[in-house]
Amino acid sequence: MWPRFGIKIGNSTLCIAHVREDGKADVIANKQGDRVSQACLLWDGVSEIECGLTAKQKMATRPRQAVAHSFQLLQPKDQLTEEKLSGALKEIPCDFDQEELVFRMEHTVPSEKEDQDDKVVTKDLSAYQVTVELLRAELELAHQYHTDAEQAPIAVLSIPSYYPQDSCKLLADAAQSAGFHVAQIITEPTAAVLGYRIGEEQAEQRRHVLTIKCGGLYSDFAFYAVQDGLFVQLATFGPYPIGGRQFTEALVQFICEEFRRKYKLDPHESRRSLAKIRTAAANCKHILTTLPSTQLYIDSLMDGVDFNAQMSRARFESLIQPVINSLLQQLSECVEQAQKEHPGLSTIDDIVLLGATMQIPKLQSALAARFPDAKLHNSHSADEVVAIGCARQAVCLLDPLEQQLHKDEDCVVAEDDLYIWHGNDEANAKLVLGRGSVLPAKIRISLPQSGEANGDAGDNAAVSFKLRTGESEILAKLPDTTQAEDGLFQLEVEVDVDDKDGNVVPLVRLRCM
Amino acid sequence: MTNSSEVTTAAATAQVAVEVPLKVARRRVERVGFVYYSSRRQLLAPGGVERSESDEKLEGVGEEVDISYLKSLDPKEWKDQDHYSILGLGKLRFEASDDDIRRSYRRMVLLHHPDKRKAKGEEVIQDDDYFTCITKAYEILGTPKARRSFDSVDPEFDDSLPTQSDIDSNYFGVFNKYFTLNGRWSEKAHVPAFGEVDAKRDEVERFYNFWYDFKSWREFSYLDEEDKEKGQDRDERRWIEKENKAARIKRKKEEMGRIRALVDLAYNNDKRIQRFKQEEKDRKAAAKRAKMDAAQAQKAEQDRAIREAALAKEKAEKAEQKRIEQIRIEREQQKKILKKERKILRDKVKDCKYYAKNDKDQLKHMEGTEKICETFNLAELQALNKAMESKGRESFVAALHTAEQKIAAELEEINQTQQKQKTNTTATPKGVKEVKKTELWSNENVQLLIKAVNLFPAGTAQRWDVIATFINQHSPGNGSNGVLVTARDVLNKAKALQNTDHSKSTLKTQANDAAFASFEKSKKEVQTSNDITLGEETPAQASKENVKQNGVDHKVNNQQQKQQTKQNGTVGAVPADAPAAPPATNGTGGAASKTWTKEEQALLEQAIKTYPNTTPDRWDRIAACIPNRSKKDCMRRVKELVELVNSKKEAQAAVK
Repeated sequence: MWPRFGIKIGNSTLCIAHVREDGKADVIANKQGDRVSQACLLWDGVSEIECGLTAKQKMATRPRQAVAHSFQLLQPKDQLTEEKLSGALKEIPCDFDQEELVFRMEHTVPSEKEDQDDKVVTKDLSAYQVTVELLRAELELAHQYHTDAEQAPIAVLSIPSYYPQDSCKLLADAAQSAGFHVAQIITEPTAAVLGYRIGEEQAEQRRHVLTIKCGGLYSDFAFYAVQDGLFVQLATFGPYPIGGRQFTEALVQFICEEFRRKYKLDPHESRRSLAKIRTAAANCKHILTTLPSTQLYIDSLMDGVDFNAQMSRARFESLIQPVINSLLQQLSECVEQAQKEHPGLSTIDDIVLLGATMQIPKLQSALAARFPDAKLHNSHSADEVVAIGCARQAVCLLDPLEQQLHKDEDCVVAEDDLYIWHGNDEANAKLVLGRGSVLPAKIRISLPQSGEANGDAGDNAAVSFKLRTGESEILAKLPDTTQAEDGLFQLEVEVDVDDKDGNVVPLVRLRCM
Repeated sequence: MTNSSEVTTAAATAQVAVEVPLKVARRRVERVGFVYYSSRRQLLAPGGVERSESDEKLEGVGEEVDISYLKSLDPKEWKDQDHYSILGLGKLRFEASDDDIRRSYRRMVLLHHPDKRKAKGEEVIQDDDYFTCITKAYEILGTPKARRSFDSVDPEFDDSLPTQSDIDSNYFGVFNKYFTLNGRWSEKAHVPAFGEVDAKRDEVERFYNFWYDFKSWREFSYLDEEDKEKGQDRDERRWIEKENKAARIKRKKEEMGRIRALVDLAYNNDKRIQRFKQEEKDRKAAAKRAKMDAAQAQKAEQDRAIREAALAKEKAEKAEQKRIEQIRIEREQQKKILKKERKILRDKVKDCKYYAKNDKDQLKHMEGTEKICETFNLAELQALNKAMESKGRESFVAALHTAEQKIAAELEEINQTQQKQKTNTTATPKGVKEVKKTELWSNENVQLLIKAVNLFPAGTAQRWDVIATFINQHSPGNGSNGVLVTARDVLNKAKALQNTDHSKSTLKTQANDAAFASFEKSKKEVQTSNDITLGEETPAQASKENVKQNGVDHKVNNQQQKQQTKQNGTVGAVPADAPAAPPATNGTGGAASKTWTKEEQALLEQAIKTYPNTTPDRWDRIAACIPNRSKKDCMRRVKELVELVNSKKEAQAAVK
């Protein structure tokens, strides 16, 4: 049963974390040594399919054989609206059949003789199949730690918050056929909140958490109320088409301008040049999140001319400022709307960042400036925190072999403590239910006999107990037949709820053992 | 405190339900996190969750410890004390969990801490208090390593081995007890059970395997004479450690010996092992017996089968003989009857003077009678005889007629079958081979063969195949008939040729005959006709034949032939005194017929080499090199040679 795994799958990247019984989650690095794998797939034209970084590198030269950003299409047919599709298609390198909803990869086999035409072979993969392939690559990583041949690795997967319930089923099926045992699918922001252990210290007051996700293509926001260790999702917003791609694009435009200014050549004319710039810009962006400056060098960018420039973080930040502004503006709108719906959200206590793009320092500092009172959680790498959260969730599972696809559940939660004691001996009061307990609950408790009650046990056949919650006290008399052993009553307290015209009324049943 | 409502419902199960103004809220909770799952667990747990809090749990853990026992303890003698009983775990002992130990210690602290006792008004001497023993006990039992070393020398553990009388009285009971007792030392979990009388073989084997490689965690550091830490300096400490180690090893050895002795004792007295051994023996014996039985049965079966087969064969033979005999007898009888009938017929006909009208008729009828006798079968004869009784001549003549008809039909049939056979033989290649073997090796073919044999000397790759194709290609008769020689035919023929005596060979005689004939003919020609051009045709043909014959046996009668051809050539073309006849006047056939001698051939080759293609007037020069040969002759010869070489190559290529 151990280790268990947490997997984050997104449009651009995948991440897998493993966790042992003690709950310490750790991200597994892939073959290239990266902790985050690229969600790219490349078909070699014959039979082999490769995933990850190598596929992404070859994608620039063989775009017709590659699939990327496929995860957004892992949705049931009726959910894929025209708008969604057209937005998604811009990011997919290969052909996409809108009728069949399959990726059509083409490979041109050069003919052996000159007089024959080149043969074109095609391969169709649905978004589901692509997901299976990508997850299969992750399974290989999981096998470094998972050696049990009989039991498939138990995994908790994440899904973006705005995906419909049906997609969960699709994702679960894909992961199952890739070879995982899917125990649960949770939303990405929930996983991130869990990853930072927010609310686990049994904080008394309610905490409001804002999660900001900015991934490769889209961003989304979610608001959570965490109280007594229970998570309640208040609102979700998104997806908005602001992602790492936009940041990269800002840099690409800059490079193009620079190149045109220097050499009077327009890289927009050549798709190949543009692809080269894009790769270099993405790389540069990643470096500038950690280093203050970097050399931007593109070999033979166009007509044999190389491009070389020094790129500082400050310059980069000035380039991406418009994108950050648009993101913040979007965020402000959402916060306003959420606060309108949930008045309790006036204060935001924690901000959780997730998605690789949120690692950009300028973005983080902009957020910190926007919410000065909130605690910004960024200790985990923002692209790994979801996987870590999933792995931590895998520890909590009650029955890991059971599959749980529903994200949330309607619960009745006690908002106050409930105490019980025997007779008038309030000093020996025992806590039956604490705040935040989920009802109904059944508790066995042993209660010491009060000294004075012992005396008048004879005159009354019933034993009286008192229950207290908040300011009110209730007396419950139990027609006692069994005498207390060693001065202890073995009681079974069942706290149930009674639904009366939509109002929930708690009901306590006492039973003497 | 103020609002106190009372809702009591008496129930048979001593249950009461109370409505409580507990504040609750309905929320959509994410199914994540520890809290959520622990509440789920509460909900799912069948008996509900026990609300355990540290203090209350201490009750009921461990047993009451006699205060006098505790008081009797001397803290200095801690090594000899039973730490479990000090903590009140005398019954649980090594089975006590860490939690048990921790809790019982806390309880003991609550009860016996000097401060607590002082508060109760007891008098406590600080230096020498038994509470030290409690802390010491927890110190040992609370740390896994120390607890293990104490457990190893548990004073309550029975190190003895069962006595023989115990074993005899209750073998399984005794050993079950001893092995469960000793099983606690096992490093591996899941010690196999000793089992009962009816245990399965593999269980028992597993048990003994386990115990024979038993690994014990028992160690004897607790019994160390001196504590290493007490040593004054490093040397002393080392010495102490060495001593301790030796003692430990010795004890460990003893312990292993003890376990081994126990297992041996069990094994040697184990009725099950004896039973298994016996069973194994029985099984082997049974298998052997079964094998032997099977072999015997098989042999008996084989013998029986052979006997039966012989019997059946004999019977069949007898029946066959009988049948043949029967047939023979029948045939003889029929023959007899036939003879008789024939005799009747003859006699009758004779009696009737052959129904002849005249002598000629008589002769014809006599012959006819015999024909009838031969052709008619029994039934017909009988019918005829009967008919003749009544109708006499008429029927005889009619019979004569039918007999003749029959004979004619038979003849016709025979002819047809012969023809058919003929067509068949030509159709089937197999027949051809046999029938036409001689036909195949016509003179032409033989000549071709000889030519080919010389052309492709021994050592040529797939020589006979090459030769066969060569012959097939060049033989005019073969191609059109579709009769092809095979490599095997060629080989056989070549061998035959080699072996035959040349003097007796038909070829030679034929050749000689032909040569002589042509010679005579030419002589005649010369004598008879003065017109040279007229006689040209025939000698040319003859000489052509001769050339071919020459090819066949040119070793034997090369010389003779040469002269002959020369003569032919000269005779055919021009008077003998003009040997270098201009080919312009000669017919093509005549020109070609001039055979090239070896010397001429050599000269030609030399000339071709000396004058390469580029030489102007090449052929004139070449011709000049060879006496008696014209330019055209040379060119033709070279052409021929080229063709020959090409065909040779072709043939070789065809085989490959």
